[in-house]
Amino acid sequence: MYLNEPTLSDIVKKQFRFKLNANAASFSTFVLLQAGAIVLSIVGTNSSFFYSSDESLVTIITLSNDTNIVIAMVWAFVLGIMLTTRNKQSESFSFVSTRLSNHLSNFLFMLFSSLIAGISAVLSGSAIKLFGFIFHGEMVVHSSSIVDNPNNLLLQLVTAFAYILLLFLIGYSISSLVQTNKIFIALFALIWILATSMNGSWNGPEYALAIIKFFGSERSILLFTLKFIVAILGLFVISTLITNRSEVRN
Amino acid sequence: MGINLLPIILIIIIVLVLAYQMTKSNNQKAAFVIKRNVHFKLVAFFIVFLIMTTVVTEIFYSKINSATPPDKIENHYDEEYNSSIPLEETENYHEEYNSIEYQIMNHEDIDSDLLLEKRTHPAGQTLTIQWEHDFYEGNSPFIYIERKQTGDQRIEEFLYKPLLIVDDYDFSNAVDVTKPIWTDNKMTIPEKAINDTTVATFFYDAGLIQQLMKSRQLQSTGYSSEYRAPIIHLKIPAELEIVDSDEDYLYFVD
Repeated sequence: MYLNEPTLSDIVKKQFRFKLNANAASFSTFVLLQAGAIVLSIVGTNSSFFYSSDESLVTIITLSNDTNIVIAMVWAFVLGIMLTTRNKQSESFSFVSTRLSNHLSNFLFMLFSSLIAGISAVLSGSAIKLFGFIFHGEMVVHSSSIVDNPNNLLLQLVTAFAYILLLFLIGYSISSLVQTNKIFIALFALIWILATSMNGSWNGPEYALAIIKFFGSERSILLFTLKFIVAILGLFVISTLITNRSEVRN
Repeated sequence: MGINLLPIILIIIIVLVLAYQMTKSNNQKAAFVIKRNVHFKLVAFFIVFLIMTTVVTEIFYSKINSATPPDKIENHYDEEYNSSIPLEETENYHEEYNSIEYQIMNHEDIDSDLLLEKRTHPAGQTLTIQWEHDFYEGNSPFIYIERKQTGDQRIEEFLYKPLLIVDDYDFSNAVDVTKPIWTDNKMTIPEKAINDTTVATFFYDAGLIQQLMKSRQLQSTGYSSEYRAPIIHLKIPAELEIVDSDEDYLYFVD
């Protein structure tokens, strides 16, 4: 019995704040990447069509925030991997904590980061529209105004948040497995080769595509939410269980 | 370097920077240290900036979205021209986009919307058709020549619009047309200046975040285009002699 016995919730909160501070630089990197992606997107993608052999052409300029979304997802995946590195683990046990509190604080950190990344990636579309208008002039906007259709903004935020969080958890789980046993590096390499190779009897990309379609082709909000919650919680539980018995410091 | 490679390079840079941070030992001093508060202030500033641009964009939405959208076509030109089905059996064979040649050859009426200009010229004993450039290069029009049965000594010139379709959009009006120059008994097809026009600027929300939206507007994964040069239909007196060094671009209507 101790005079001051901290609860799990207190520890998780403290660790969450600690992780925010420890990974503060990652957020600056994210902002710089998003700003760079916005600049690139404002320039746009030019599709030119020659209509005669004298090299006359017409050009269609397409602006989109695709790059911002992709960069947010890659950032989440890399940061998810970083959260379980040896350095980060050692830092986490600098004060009173448990494996569970460490994982819960990591999960909170991933939730918070996904929210920031999701909001930024979705709202970047408005910045691209506005500066694209200044750069190129009037355009044909193939998306409704937020005032006219606020539901669309909400759905976009939910979708971006879900995908970014999923990528966080995938990176986190992969890294957790690798930290537990290096043999998983070989296993993941094998899975990668299998998923990208095809011959007469095996079509890896087809299986990979089936997984992508499982999430990507879902149009029902309810099923989409269910699929993502199950996948995210599943990955989190797996990561928690497999690292539960690892040493605090090696 | 293609513009599409830049995001990939950016991604590689982030991976390298983060990998460097991961491997950097705790004892190693960084070249310069940014205070943690600065990182959080930067994020807060960025989010506020995005919210402000969203508000401004919404205020000026109608102005930003004021470009006239290109005409959408219903029947697909390339489907009917590249199909294994005989042209005559295709559903929209007599539709405006693909039937000018057919209608000229069969003396049928052509939709007046496709006519760019009709001109008449006095006819002599001969008509010389001359290209100011190699007609295998450039935007050479196809010339259809029909001999009139009446004794009218005038040449009627019908100049039909070129066709440029990108996916389902009709950009025919964006194609510059160089009209023939008529002097005494001579029609000259002038060399066309090289033209580069931006015909449309589109904005699409990222495809991924439209997944749950009821009406999605996805951008093309790859544009396809179809082009047909302008067509000139000349109705000439029955006895008029055509003088031309090469008749590859001349089609005589029976």
